[in-house]
Amino acid sequence: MNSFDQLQRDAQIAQRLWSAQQEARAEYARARRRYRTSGDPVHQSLADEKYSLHRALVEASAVRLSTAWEVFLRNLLAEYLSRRPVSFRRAWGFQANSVSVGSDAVDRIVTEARQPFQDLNRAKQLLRYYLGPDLFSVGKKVAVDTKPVEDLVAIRNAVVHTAGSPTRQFRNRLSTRKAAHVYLTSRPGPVGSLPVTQFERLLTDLLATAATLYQRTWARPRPVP
Amino acid sequence: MPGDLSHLSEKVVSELMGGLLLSYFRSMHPERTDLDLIRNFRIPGPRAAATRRVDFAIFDRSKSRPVALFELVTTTSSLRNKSQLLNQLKRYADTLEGPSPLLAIVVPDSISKRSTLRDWSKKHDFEVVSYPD
Repeated sequence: MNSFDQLQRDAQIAQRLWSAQQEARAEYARARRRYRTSGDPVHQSLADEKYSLHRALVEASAVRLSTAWEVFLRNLLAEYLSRRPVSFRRAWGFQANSVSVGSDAVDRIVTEARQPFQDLNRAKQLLRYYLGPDLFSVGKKVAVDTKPVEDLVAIRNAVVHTAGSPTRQFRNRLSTRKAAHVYLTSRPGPVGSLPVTQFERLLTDLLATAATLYQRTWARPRPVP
Repeated sequence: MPGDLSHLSEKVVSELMGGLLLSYFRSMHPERTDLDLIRNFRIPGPRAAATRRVDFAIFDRSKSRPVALFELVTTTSSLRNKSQLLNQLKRYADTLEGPSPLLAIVVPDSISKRSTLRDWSKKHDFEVVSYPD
């Protein structure tokens, strides 16, 4: 399985978490309505429980998707060095005629680079080093739009570091003061259009970005944007 | 454009589309639970051999029946080619007890505003759901 196929699989897991949060949200809505009509505090407790579950699953979906992206980048690097070891030889200045790059070597590269894949700029730097300086852009022309990744990273950081409260990075990037879980469930486009939530917008944009990056990795010559 | 699907292969789009449509239905019915997404949902015809499949169905487990049926239509000519299937879908929906399921065609943004499509959907009582392309 190549790195893009693996990303798709991982993205499906994030999408399933998303589906589970929708179920929890529906159960919350039902319990709240029952509480309003009956006044029975049992329904209020159930509603609180379901809302907590819904929120946890929303945040887990975003973090899972972010992790899927980081794993994709690592797998892409490993796949490329395995299929095109000459780039490794060139980067490290080996004179040997034949070089093969195994998983230990990739682990070493990633460790030496201080686990760069959580930081998009450092990840790009590492990938450019081994996959070519024209991977993401040619001069000032952007070949792979990574804006969706930047949005996702801002959300992930807000969830992981401030329990979903909007950090400055989050507010500036996404032009919102909503909490992460509220933003993710909000609508990105007009009624009657897909996707219906910001999370799903990020999911589809992320896959589109990854597809472009994957195609560009192997294309020879690389098209000028 | 949010969620642009143009860079993705047909296979990837098809995988994604199911989840997006389930989400779409849930956004219209926020209290509905026990929903499943089913791909290539079989709808019966007048004879056994006339069974056909619709791209996506949202199935209510508690009521054991579909509550929404979606067919992907990527061009206006494919709308013509699918007219038999869509008519059969309408007839099937009319046979179901209780409230009619939502019937919708799922089309790319680039054709969603075309008058032929809009006129057709109004005449046959299908909703139009668009996705970015």
